[in-house]
Amino acid sequence: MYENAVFSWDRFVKLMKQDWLLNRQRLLMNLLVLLVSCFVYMFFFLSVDPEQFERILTNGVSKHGFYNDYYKTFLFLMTVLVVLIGLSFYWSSSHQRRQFLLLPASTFEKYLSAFLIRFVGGFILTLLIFWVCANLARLTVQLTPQYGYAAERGFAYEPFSYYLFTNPESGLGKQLWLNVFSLLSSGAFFFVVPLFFRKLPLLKTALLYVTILFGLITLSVGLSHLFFPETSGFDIALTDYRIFHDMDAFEYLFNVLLSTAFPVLLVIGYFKLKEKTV
Amino acid sequence: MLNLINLTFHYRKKPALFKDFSLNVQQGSIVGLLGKNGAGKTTLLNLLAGLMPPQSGDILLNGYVPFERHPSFLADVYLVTEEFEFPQVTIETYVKAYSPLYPSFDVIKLAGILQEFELDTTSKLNQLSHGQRKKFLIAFALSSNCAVLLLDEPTNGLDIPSKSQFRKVLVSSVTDDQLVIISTHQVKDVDTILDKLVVIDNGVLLLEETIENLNQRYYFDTVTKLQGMDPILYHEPCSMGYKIIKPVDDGHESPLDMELFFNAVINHALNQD
Repeated sequence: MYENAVFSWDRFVKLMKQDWLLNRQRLLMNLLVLLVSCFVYMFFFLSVDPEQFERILTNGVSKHGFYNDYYKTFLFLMTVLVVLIGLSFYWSSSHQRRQFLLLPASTFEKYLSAFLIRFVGGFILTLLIFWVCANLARLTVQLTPQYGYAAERGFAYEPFSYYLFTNPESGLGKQLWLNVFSLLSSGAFFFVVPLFFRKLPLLKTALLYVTILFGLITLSVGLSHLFFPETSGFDIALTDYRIFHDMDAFEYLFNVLLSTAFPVLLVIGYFKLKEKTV
Repeated sequence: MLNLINLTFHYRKKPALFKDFSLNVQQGSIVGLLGKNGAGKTTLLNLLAGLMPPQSGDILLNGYVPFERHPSFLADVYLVTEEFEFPQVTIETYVKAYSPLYPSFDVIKLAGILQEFELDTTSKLNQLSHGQRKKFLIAFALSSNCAVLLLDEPTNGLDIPSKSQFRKVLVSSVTDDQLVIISTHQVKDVDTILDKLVVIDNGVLLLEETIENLNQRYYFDTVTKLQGMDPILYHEPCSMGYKIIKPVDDGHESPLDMELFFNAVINHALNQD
């Protein structure tokens, strides 16, 4: 019999193995679909006709002009992942929920196993998939005659690496960290909040997410109108108070809020799972 | 092994299903938990399995408070539910995935029961019929060797040969260290295997008695007419005349007619006895 009520390595390994054995086919299929769709999307995004290449070359757009497009695609893929994370504690029936709750393991082990497989594993695999797709699409595009035309004029796609996002030329800088925190806290939100709903948990979580987002925007608009009467329409008036040399008060506030939301949500989720009933 | 003390439970915005409900059952027995639809049988099993907490009162099963869901408790209690779903895997994969989580799981015993139930381990669970899937779930539960087995309507969906296979397998694989609680409203399916009877109605414990004691107290018979048969505790018309329950008076025992007895208990016909 098990003596440790919170964590046992032996039990945890068995739990992870159980999850893998039962869900491997579905997980691998999801990965394949993600990989193929990401590759196709990136291929069409990188493929441009000779006229577009001409404009890029004539207007002097540097080869780094693609940072933001890479980045947008990357954020889109991450958004898909965040929604998929919402399926971690998605039980389509009370039987599935019952079976999960009755698994002979502690709540902490079940929670940690779901977190490692769906959340951490999901982020790592998505990073890997995007890197593979970006480079594979780039290499494939280089085989096209259109690219050959541009290449003759000195144009070259740089191999994709995540270092590009941190490159000062990309201009992403502070926004990058804010987005990393946003992704982590959004992932935690979609990981935890479905536990609070019995029916249609994913849909309700998404609706709540959008409601909170619009609620914050509306609040900001309202406060802007209250304190800055000259504000028009749905504009948000922000006064630029510098906290650090490269960060104003609002950026700092959002960084703090989003980075603390992540662990706080995870702790709330654990206690909710502990008290979950069928 | 099972102690329910002044248990009170109600679903949100619903009247109390159990109020001051107490029950004590020891290991080494197969207990029939009988009651009409909506009597609270499944709810009681869910409470025992740790899926819901009671509003008040104490539940102690196998030395644990179920809702704390201690891993050792979960590894030693198996609930076979009436409705179930399986992932898209074969029996073999399912067993490989779940059996290591039950420390006392006996793979050889499982193979024997699966053979008895005529189930092939390479079959995909979702391609089996409802009855076959139920038989697999029962086989898995019995092979887990858990100290407590909670079976909710185990014979629902089983054909007639499977019902007798179920009885045979259950009786041969349960040991004196185990407690099996079978919740059912199909009393005829399990009448020959029970050691103890618990009847509940509207959350109230109507009867808690061993089959042995019931056999010593009640005599079951079928008669063509009721005249001259006093004292009759309960009777029901049947094709042969009447089925009756009367007190045992001359030491002769009769096979327990579980269905008739259940109806008598539910109709409070044995209260004065």
